[in-house]
Amino acid sequence: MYQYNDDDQQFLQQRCDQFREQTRQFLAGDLTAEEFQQLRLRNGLYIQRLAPMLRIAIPYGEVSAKQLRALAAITRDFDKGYAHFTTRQNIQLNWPKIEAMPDLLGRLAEVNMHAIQTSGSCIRNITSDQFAGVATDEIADPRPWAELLRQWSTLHPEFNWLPRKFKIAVTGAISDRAAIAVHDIGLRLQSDDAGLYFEVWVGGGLGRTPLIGVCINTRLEPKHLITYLTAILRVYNQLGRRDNKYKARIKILVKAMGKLDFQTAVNNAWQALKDGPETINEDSIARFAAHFSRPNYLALTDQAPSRSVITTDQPFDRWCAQNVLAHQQPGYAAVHISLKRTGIAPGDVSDRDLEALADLADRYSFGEARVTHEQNLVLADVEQTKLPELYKALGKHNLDRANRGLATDMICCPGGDYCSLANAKSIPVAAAIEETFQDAEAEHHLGALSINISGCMNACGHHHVGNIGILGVDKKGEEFYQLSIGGEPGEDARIGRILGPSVARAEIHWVVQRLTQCYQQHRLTEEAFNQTLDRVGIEVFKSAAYEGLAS
Amino acid sequence: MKLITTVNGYPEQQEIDLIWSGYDEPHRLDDAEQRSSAVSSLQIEPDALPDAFQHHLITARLILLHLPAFTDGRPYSLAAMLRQHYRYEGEIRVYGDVRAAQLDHLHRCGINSFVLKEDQDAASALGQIGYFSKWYQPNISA
Repeated sequence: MYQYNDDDQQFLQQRCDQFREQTRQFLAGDLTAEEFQQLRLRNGLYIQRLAPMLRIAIPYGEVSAKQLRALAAITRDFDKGYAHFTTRQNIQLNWPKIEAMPDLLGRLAEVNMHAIQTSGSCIRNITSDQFAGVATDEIADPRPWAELLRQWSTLHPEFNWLPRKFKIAVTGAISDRAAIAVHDIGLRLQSDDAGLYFEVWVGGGLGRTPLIGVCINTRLEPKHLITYLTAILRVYNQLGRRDNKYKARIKILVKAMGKLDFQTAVNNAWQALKDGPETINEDSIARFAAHFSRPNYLALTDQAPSRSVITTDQPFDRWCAQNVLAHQQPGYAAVHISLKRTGIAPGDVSDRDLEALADLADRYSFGEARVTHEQNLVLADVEQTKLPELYKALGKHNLDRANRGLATDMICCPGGDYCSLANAKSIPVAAAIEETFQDAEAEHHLGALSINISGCMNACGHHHVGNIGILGVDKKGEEFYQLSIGGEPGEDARIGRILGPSVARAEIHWVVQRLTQCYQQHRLTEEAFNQTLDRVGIEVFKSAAYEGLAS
Repeated sequence: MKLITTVNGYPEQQEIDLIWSGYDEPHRLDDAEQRSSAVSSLQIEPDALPDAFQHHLITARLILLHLPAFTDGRPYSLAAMLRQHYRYEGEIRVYGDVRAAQLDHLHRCGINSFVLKEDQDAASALGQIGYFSKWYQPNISA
């Protein structure tokens, strides 16, 4: 993973010192609340329903064992001993105190971590594929580019006050696990006879107006990445709407201008920048790539392929089939660790969990772990022969659930329990749905299914791209939930369709159950939820869902 | 680099030849018109696009950029474009809601003159410039 040099460390230290001084000025009354709000947001600090919330960046989801241990200690010393992994590969603390923030950020800086630009109208944490560098369907490793973009976007002088937040995702694989089509900018590494290039997608996003992005450059030479993105951001910074925050994202601008006019504007802006000083040279590409060289793999051979097939009802076999993924290196596997556990909010981890995960990363995966946008963790480089002992070790910490991609692997925002933006709670809804899937056998039989829950329009739970999407709405002070079905996040990204009237909290898990039953009843062999939906039509699901419900 | 402190960030007796906003229609001028319309100072509203007023850049020596709110990023891009795209080398002065914490980024986008809001501390504002020893991006020089 990327190793900080002296300049990186000094930069981070100076950023901490700067925020310490800003906090001092605010607490002394020398800085207005309005101005301090903007400065603290750019250091990841929100003021939430019950307490401040700090969002810590995990660039493209890569985290070291040392960092996991530091996070564990920080949750103990500054919070209530737990933290929450988000859908953007970050981690959040729910109870830090404003006065303690400078010290907290100082502790993060000791392990080369920060909360820079995890909120505010600026370029947010760059996200990527959790299987970068190990996925068998990879064209090129996206991490060097993600790191390059992290550095470029960090305190960029021109783009710190955009009309609205700005999210960039990069993928380098055939299967798009970074959901690039629903980002402000989505980058896809491709290659042909002439070498590596980027497809550049712009204007995707969820929230109030869910839209799939459009491809505005089908072949961008990698050396132009920074200048081309500067041109996009420059057009957006100048022309994006600032009069209405719900219409301020780049997707609205792209839609209003139309793909062609937007493309032309970007190309015009690019002419002044192209081949200029920010063109990326070969040396610098090599320097970034060197940080992500392959770890010291042993020369091994692949174990019996039967490990990828359920042969018995043994829990270990099931876990292997569901949570263990193929690897580029013979004899190795990528292991998906579920953070969707009964009785625990999706994506939540305790300080003990974090320490256990750090130990396991050290013991089995070269001291590194990855955060996924599904709010789970990955140990990317595990020797196949060590899978049984890893499985056993995970079991001791309640981290061995074999539910990757299944119904209980729900994506869920913190919702009304924590977030001041939420219209409704989401964690209790996840818990209620979870309870209807207590039979692991039945859940496996149901198969792949994504359920996404957001507590409000801001769509942190990505409900638009769930097979079943649940959105919390407020109806005269009561929590109701709107359902959509047929969403998909990956390379065939699409937005789910609204099913019908919203449903009361007490009913929502039963409606979800009826939808899954309807799918099972109508599906053909090997047919995924969306395929069945497309074949039989939404009305079939609609009548199943609302059967017996008071209208 | 110039630092000017006035009431509410607005220049008191600024003599400006021309004010340009996004409402003004872009138009082309022939040489004669260009000469007769020679302006040495130009005030730019944030919604204006440089293409529309570029013909004035030949004679302009002072460009005033309006920052209506400290959260408005448009003057940053305007300044960067004036330097990078149009090679304007004269003074770019920003006025309006100019606060100490913004100075460094404004400066790094090529702005070399600042009308600081009255309630801002000039020393603290100057201290922001060069606060960081190194950056991840090249600066746009004034």
